[in-house]
Amino acid sequence: MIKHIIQREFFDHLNSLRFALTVIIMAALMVTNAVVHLQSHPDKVRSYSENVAGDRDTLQSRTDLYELLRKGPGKLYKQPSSLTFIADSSDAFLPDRGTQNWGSWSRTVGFGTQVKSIWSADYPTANPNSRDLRPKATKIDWVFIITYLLSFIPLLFTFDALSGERENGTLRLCLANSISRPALLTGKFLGTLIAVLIPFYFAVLLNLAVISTDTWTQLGAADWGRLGMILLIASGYASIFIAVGLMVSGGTRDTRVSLVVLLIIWVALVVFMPSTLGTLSTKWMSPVQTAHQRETARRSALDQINDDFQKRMTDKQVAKSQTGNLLNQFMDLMKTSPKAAEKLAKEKEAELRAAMANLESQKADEEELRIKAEFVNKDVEIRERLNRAHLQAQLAQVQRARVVTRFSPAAIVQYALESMTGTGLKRHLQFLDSVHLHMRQFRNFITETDRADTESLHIIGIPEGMSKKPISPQALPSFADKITFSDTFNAAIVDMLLLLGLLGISLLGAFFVFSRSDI
Amino acid sequence: MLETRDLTKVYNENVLAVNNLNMKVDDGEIYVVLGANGAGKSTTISMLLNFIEPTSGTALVDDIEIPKFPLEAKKHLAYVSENVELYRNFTARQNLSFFAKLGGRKKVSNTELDATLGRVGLPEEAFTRRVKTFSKGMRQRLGIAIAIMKNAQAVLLDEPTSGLDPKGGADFLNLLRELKEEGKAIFMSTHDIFRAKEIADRIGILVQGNLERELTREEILKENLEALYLHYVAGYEPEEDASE
Repeated sequence: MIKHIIQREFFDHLNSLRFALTVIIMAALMVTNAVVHLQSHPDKVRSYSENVAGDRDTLQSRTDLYELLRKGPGKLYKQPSSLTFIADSSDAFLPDRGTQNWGSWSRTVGFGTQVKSIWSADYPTANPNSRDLRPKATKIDWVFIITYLLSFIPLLFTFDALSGERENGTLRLCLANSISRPALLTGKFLGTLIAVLIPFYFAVLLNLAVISTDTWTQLGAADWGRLGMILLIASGYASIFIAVGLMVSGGTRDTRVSLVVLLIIWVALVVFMPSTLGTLSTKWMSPVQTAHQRETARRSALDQINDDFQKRMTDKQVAKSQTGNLLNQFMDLMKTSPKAAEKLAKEKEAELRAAMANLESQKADEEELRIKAEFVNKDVEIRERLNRAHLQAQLAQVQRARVVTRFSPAAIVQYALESMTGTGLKRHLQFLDSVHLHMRQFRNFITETDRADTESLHIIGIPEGMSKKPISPQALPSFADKITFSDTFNAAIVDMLLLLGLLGISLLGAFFVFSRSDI
Repeated sequence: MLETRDLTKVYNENVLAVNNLNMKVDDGEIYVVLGANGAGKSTTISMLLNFIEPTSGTALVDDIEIPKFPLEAKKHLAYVSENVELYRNFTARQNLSFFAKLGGRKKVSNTELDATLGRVGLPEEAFTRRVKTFSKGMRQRLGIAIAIMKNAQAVLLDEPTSGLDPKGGADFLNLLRELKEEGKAIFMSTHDIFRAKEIADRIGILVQGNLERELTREEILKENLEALYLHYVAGYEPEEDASE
């Protein structure tokens, strides 16, 4: 019985103008997406390959262990997803690499001892081209097509599905037969779903046919698996709006009323909520530190360890000096009475110079080296802690805004599609996890390599304390960013479950409304 | 075949639509219910088709309680509505085929479809025409073709002759006679006293949900139905015969 309802519903849509228009619009947008992808994707892949190769060559050119520690593991580039044509728009706001060079410092402490910084992780920000003065245009990726069209078209197909039949009297005629209301509704739901998905899948095939001509886009088995999941998500999303359309249509007697109500719902769910809720939610969040505040906090923390280090080094050197007494006296006066110190310096200039020269010529002993290494490593620890805290604060804001916008199925489907595609925030978070893991491996490699050298003092952080043996380039841990099916699936699972829940609720709503409405 | 037992419907806000309706339509009988707008005719049909639940009482078709076993009961019921538009983008044949399958027919041949369409008087050229090009009379014929195709034992007709021209109306009555001869129990609601008088075996006059009067065929022929109807429906007293 349901089969006949499905067939009738489907053929009814097939004969309609809206079906023809849907096919044309969907196909045009999908082909546009594919053509734009062909233009931009090769550059992205080429740029990624060149960057990775450059990073690797630079890294492998460093054969000194200390040099490796000082320069770090490289920029650690994020691999562009082979499915970027599906969800690309939010990647413009996310960096394409895991770390950046923040610069380095070198300073003289105590009596002329040089200390140099070593590498610490700093997180880059995305830099969309601010000099691009072209008018801002919406990026036509699958997310756009699915979010807007696969919500609007189902409503267009269903606004009169029940209210129209009620007006025509065919609803009474149908239900005068031994068919229940849930069965009729199920038939209508499935018939409309097929009618909505056929133009979409046709457009998808066109899109993939065009993209298959691109040698830079090679889809493997895992990519096809992800693509299958993406189509499933899109179908589920369209189903939600079909159910919503049937719910409203089932509860109204007038097709015009049904259409107006559904348009209001569409604008609220698809246009208003995703764009506005996120912005509104940030009003109630504590703001992320500004660049100035961040710099002040960093300076304060670093100054503290710097003062401590200066003191320890000076004390150590002074105590060690053969002319320690004179220097001690001079240093004490510097703290208590600079004028008296100046006087002493003039009176005993020759002795003091001799003491200083003597001090410089001395080789630093092991304890001094440890103090220096401790300082350098603390500097790294503080910088990384502050950088990580800043990144976490930024991400927490974005996460909270995403939670709020999840009231809209359009936002949920966007997040789910991005996650399955291997773009967007979730993918970036996974990438950052890989970056952190690699950083740990990289540092472990340095420690282990140094430990293996019996001639080394094993004081990591300064050249004098580390192994001088050359490093084999092959032994270096390599960073290979990969997008796996399980990672993308795990990232998308919450949003997929939310969509499933929404589908269940909207279907139940449609059954409830239709079962209680007059025929 | 078709029976109501104390069938009552009270809508929200205590609007009494049908009050303790007891009536019975036997096989091969045409029962016509007359009444003004809001008398409860359509509500009765809606309850017979389980579109709405009765407040109390019950209705039966072939001894099956309709509110309790609606899907089973509806196998024995065919329905022709007042103003059926049908599926406008479908042809007459497609509409008939769809409703035949919905009515439980597994396979329907074009020959059978065409024979039924021909039987209700649709011209052959209309079989494959989209229904949106049909006149009301043609759609009404198609509606009865759908009921015939279902081959149900009871046929419910909700003001089926409204808007039909005299020839269309006459053809329609002939079709009803044929169905009656096939042994169908026919329950028809209408305002049309003349057609009711012509076709009905029994007539019930429904006033504000109450079955005020029931007339047999003999009474229908004997009584001045028009005056009786006006008396019950509008409260007019019949004029005295001038010859008396």
